[in-house]
Order: sequence, then C-alpha cells, then structure tokens
Amino acid sequence: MTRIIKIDKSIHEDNKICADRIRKQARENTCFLINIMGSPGCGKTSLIIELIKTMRNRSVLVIEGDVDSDVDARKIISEGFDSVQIQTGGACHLDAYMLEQSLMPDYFKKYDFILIENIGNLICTSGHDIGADLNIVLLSVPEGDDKPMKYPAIFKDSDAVIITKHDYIQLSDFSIEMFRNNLLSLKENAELFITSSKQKTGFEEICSFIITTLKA
Amino acid sequence: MHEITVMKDILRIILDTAKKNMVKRIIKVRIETGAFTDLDESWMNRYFKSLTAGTAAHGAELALEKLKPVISCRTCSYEYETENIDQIDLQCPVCGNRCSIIGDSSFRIVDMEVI
Ligand SMILES: Nc1nc2c(ncn2[C@@H]2O[C@H](COP(=O)(O)OP(=O)(O)OP(=O)(O)O)[C@@H](O)[C@H]2O)c(=O)[nH]1
Ligand SMILES: [Mg+2]
Ligand SMILES: [Zn+2]
Repeated sequence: MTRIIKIDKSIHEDNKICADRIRKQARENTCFLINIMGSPGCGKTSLIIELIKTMRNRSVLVIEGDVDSDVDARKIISEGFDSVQIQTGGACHLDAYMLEQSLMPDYFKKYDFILIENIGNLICTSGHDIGADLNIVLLSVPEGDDKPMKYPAIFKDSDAVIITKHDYIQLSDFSIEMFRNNLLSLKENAELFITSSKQKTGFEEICSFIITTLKA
Repeated sequence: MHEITVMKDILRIILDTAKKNMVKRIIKVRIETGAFTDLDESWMNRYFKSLTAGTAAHGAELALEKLKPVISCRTCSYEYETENIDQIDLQCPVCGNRCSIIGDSSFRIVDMEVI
C-alpha cells in the first residue's frame, strides 16, 4: 500500500531563512545591502563605480560575485573603493549562504551600503534571495528591448530596472517605450532608470531612489 | 547547471521527510513550478535520476506541473491562460485596454507518494 505525504514546501525556504537573518543583522546596524544583477558585460561593475562616486560621503563595500576570478574586485579597489571577492566555483548565482560566509562581523558596522555584483546571468540569479534590501536588474541597450518577455522572472522580482549604456541608443533599434510597456505589463509599479556609465548620466536619480526607498 | 542545484535541494527535502516518516521507498514526487520558472525539464529528470541513485528515492517518478502565465485585464478583469508570453498581444480581447501578465518563479514540492 502506498501513502501520500504532504510536503508543501518551497525549495527556496531554507535560503530565505538565511537571507532574512542577513537582512536583520544588517538593519540592526543601519547597513543596507543592494543586489545588482544583469547579463555578462551589461555594465554592472561600471555602474557600481559611478554609483559609489555619486554616493559621495557614504561608506560603501562592494562584494563581487564571480565564477572564478577577481578581476572586478581588483578594478573596484584600483578606483579607490573597498571590495571583496566571492568565487562561486562554478555556481551560476549567489545564494544567501555564500553571502553569509563572505560577510565579516564588522562589515555592517563599518559600511552604510554593501553593493553586491551578482554573477552575470539573467536566469539563475532571479528567485535567489541573498538578503538584499533592494534587488536591481540591469539591461544594456545592445541586449534589446524584448528581454522582459524572455526573462520575465528577474524583471518581475526586481525592485528597480536600469537601462544601461544609453549612449548606444542612436546605434540601435532599442525602444525605451516598448521596454517600459513590457516591463509595466509584468509589474505595474516597476521603477525604471536610464544610465550611461560612459557619459556619467542617470546616477543622481538612482541615488535618490535608493536613499528614499531605504530611508537610508 | 542551475537545474542541479535545484535537484539537490529537492533531494535533501524529500529524503529528510522520508526519514522523519519512516519511509521505505519514495515512488513519486509532485512538484509545482510558477509560470516564469526557467528550468529545463529533461535536465531536471536526468539530474534527479543520477542524484537519487542509492537513496530511498531511487527510481522515483518526478511529476512536474508548470503553471501557465495568466493574462489579466486591469480594466475589465477578463483573464485567460496562455502558453508563451514572448509574442503575446497585450490588448484585452474584450475591452481593448492593456493587460498585465501574472506568474512567478516559485518552486514548490507538493507531496510524495511512498511505501
Ligand atoms: N559605451 C558604454 N560602454 C559601457 C557602459 N557601461 C559599461 N560599458 C563597457 O562595457 C563593458 C563591460 O562593462 P562592465 O562594467 O565590466 O560589465 P559587467 O556587467 O560588470 O561585466 P561582467 O562582470 O563581466 O558580467 C566594458 O568594456 C565597459 O567599458 C556604458 O554606459 N556605455
Ligand atoms: Mg563586472
Ligand atoms: Zn478588458
């Protein structure tokens, strides 16, 4: 005789508990974690550098997630900012456990913001709560305006979407209106920003969004 | 790549449950995924098969149910299910206003059949 055992459990449940633990500890020390996602080369590292410059008097740590290198962390350090590297050893996304292991006890006291550059990927990074207070996804102009419909999960689960490399717009058929409409059909209250790290535009808006949303 | 981490999570949960319930063998595991869950079914089955080897779940069937995206009109509340949102016309067939797309990337183990 067979029997049925009810489980009714999300596979993300244990990770979520770890993520909530990180969030709670960070908040107790008024430190905020921001998860930056997007495909390889969409401009995550460049945006992070411009964003820190715009944040001026805030102390910021950048945690770089990469499969197997520390190129980005070294780049951030060479710009004069603090950075540590997490190597996932092949894993395609960061999870809360990986992040927790990389966090030193004094980070939350020392920094106002911790920016986390997730692995370059539009699929696997979504749905994995890493304990961030804000989840932001980047999409560069050369990638095309149809991406919300192809990768709905990540756009839907993000608190803000940033179109990067706006300086490429004249060379491309990317329609910001089309992109915005697609995004709004997935998420009615989506927040959309537009930047160019090359021309250094759009960063003040993101900064004030972060500060007002987090009341930081 | 991504499928293997998910299958490891599933295996851990079902084997834990099996142990707590003095299960001899797991026959079938039912899983429900959200419309936007981006996992390949054939890879999931393949990883499940190899990961369960030598465990109480060896040879178990993986019953996957993927929920469909729902297109929903904000104005007149008309709703319908669709297969693919890639080429979807978002104009409401009833009132002509713009529709929104409803779905998520959840991944839930519903239950399992055991002896
Ligand atoms: N024209 C232009 N180029 C940009 C912009 N932002 C980034 N780039 C260039 O795009 C390339 C990739 O930028 P990164 O910031 O390294 O992108 P990333 O997303 O961090 O890349 P990975 O970490 O490898 O996934 C570099 O050559 C940058 O100089 C931009 O706004 N405009
Ligand atoms: Mg980078
Ligand atoms: Zn309607």
